[in-house]
Amino acid sequence: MGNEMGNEMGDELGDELDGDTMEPDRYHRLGLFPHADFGRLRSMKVIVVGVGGLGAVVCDILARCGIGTLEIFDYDTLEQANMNRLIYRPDQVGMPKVDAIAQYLQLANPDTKVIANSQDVTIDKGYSRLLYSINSDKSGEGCEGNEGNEGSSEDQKVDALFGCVDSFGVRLFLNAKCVKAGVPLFDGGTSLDGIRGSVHVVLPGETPCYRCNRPLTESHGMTGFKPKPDPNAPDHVTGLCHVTSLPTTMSIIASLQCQEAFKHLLGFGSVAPYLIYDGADGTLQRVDWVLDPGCPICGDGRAQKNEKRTDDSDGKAQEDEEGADDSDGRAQEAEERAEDNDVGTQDDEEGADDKDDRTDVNDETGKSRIPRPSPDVLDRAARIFDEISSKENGRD
Amino acid sequence: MKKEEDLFYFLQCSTVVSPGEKGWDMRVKEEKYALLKLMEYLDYLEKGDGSRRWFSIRPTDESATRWTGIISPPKRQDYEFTLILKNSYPFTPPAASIPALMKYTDRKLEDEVLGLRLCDMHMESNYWWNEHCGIALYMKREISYWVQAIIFDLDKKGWI
Repeated sequence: MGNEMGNEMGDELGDELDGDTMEPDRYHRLGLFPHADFGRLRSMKVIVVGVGGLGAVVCDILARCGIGTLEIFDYDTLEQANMNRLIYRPDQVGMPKVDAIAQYLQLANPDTKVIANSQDVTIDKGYSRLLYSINSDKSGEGCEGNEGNEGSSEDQKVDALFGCVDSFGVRLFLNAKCVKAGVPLFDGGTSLDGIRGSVHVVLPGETPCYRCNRPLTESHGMTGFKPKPDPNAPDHVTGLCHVTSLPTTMSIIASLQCQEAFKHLLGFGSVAPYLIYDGADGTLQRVDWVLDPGCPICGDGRAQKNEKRTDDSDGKAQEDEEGADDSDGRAQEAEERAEDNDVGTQDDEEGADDKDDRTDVNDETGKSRIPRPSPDVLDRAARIFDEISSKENGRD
Repeated sequence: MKKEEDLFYFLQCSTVVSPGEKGWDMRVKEEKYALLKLMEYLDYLEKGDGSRRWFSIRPTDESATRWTGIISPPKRQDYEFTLILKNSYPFTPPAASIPALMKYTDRKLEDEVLGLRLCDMHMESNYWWNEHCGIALYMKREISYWVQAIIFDLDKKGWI
């Protein structure tokens, strides 16, 4: 009843005022925010990868705050098990998640243009579409097949990417692509026990990337409470995800993601590179990551002292040694790897000449922490491998 | 503390390039080199000539993003397995499956007991994967786990 009255009132006002003059009412309270102008969000475009527990809330907040264009990616469909999270309705079960959230956002704020991609960002079309969206020059890798979109909002430069995914590998993937394209990444995640979570902000060139520091693991108590399901229990159902998901933790982490993003996009406050929320203790901790100069993703890394040993013969070792940062812990780690190299090759009975296999090869792909065998050795190895596999294939 | 990926660095690849990008052929060569190293390592351990090796593997397409092979658990039948290297590889691990066991697997499963799918989740939750890890390390760390433990477990339960 109340809604109907509201609509009637809106219609009446709408008769007197045009759409543009109606808009400030929607954003009136945001307009009173003293630290920044939320109106600037109207011209911005963001990408949300994953619209599950975190991503759906992130989309909701962004749309209600008046983001201009929201591009969302998720290949999953809605299930009953998703209903404990916010936003989705039981009658949407079976729909692709992106369509369900687009339907919702259209009602929540018609001003926001939603581009829904029901594709996996790690492969084929979804991958191409993601690369096309985050590469501002639109001529980079993976941009083929999107020629028809120039000039539209789909072609607009992306201001931020929200990572709301459930796997470590995809986070590393998003991190690598964002750092390469210079797009800020706001990644959120919750622990397997559902009560803790973290937000990681990657501002390419400013803050450490996701790869610079290993994420929290068991040693930090992040996965400590995961219950082991009993497969013999009568109520055990196969085919279900056995990881818990609390809507409280999810919405807190999603809100923190948005908060940090607003701080960066609108230029107020101080963006926290890493926030750890512990719901069990009720604490929120800010961690200022240390940027790893040897990071293979965002650093000029990949060149470490482990190349020294293999460089001895051509006298380049001295230059590389001077170039390397001696205070960097990774250099020591790399030296240890070089020692392992000796052990590893000694184990090879056939590879008596393999000690000199790995040489310092610097080409367009850059230096690497892992030494690379010379092209000749690689070619030979590929040939031998092909012979072996064709022989075994014949045998099978 | 040394981790497995440190100890078995010689199974890793130097080039960090995704399928379809420039330099992917170099990565493929390195993958083959690392697989050859793994074979040599296994033959050394088994003091064998390769005839008793528990796996064989080969790429099935020109760009080497689809791989197939046979795993041979001791005293059990052989199984065919497939590996798919997505565009996000090597940042994400290969997607692997054993088609004959697919009816026991499900993408949604993630628990240790019934983690029946041959899953990248195992590795992701262990936080050990990095972009230098390749197929060889995946074989050693993940597929061998299936060969050594999971298939026997399924057999013991009378499921296969």
